[in-house]
Amino acid sequence: MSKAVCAFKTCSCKIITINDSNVVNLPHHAIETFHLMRKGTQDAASNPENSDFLIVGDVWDFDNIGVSKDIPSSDITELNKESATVTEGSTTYTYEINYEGKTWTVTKCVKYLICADCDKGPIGMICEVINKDTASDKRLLHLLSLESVTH
Amino acid sequence: MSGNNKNYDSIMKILLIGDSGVGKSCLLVRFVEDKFSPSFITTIGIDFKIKTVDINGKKVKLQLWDTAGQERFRTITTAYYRGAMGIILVYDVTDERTFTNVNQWFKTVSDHANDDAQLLLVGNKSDMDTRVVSYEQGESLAKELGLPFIEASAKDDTNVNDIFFTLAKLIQEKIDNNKMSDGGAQDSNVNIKSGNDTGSKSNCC
Repeated sequence: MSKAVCAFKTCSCKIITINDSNVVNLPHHAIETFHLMRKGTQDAASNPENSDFLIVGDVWDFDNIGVSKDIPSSDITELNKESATVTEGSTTYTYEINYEGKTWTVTKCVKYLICADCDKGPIGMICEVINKDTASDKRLLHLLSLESVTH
Repeated sequence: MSGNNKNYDSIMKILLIGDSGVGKSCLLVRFVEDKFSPSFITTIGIDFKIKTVDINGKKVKLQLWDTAGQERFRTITTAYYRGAMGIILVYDVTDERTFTNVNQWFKTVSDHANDDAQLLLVGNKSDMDTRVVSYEQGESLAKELGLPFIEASAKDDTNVNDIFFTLAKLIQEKIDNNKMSDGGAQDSNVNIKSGNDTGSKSNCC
């Protein structure tokens, strides 16, 4: 298990210990959809297919984290519209997460996560997710973008 | 399952209280605008922060809350105080009115917060040349109210972290002396420790 720390060397605030079994792949477009911070050194053009996210069920699992207030327009369809580029046209992305043996579909982005010491970010978000199989069971999950932190 | 394996010894809910403009938010958030601190975050505002400190070898997690402007309307709800184990009363050393109002805030806090909540008086913006409230005045008021006292400048991080560390240490000492039960905090803030149903936690404000 490695540690996720703030990507800025002058800060290097410890965010959380990464439990590898809770790391999921989302389409790389998630970084745009959720307006997440890219590490300074990262080449934006490299654009890999997938991005790793650490799924955190309980906010107390974080060692140091800043949590924003509720985001005004947070519905996933709205976010998709906002971040759609001309070349992609009407492509909409769905984000599915396997966590604790269930598949969850992201329906809303509720809050942003930022570094607790230097406030840089967003380095992740809190999402409302719905159980894909039952389509009823709702919960909140914290998604830490591993592309936005050092680990 | 994340809920079963807690990686801390204690958790503490801590509130920042005081007149608007005294810099409570600055103690919590640095509003530095650059490309990595996008303005949309500062516009949305910060709900709370979690910070982990080491107190005598114990891993203590602090949840820090700001009133976010509610104080302007004196509408800080009882819910905000619920479960708070520490309360930081903040005034601005460059604004006498905010210092005078500490008495009022002290009374409000005494009415609403748990009796065993640990209070701390903080004189903020101590780096400013335009100071009108002296260190001695702050110290003397603290003595009168029976509170520990610190002067701070949000520009100086060490100092800000000192505030949280000092308060956490005082609370931990209370817990260790059984003056403040962990159970009490749990009663009033049930979701935090109860484990697996994380659904409502981040909504609790």
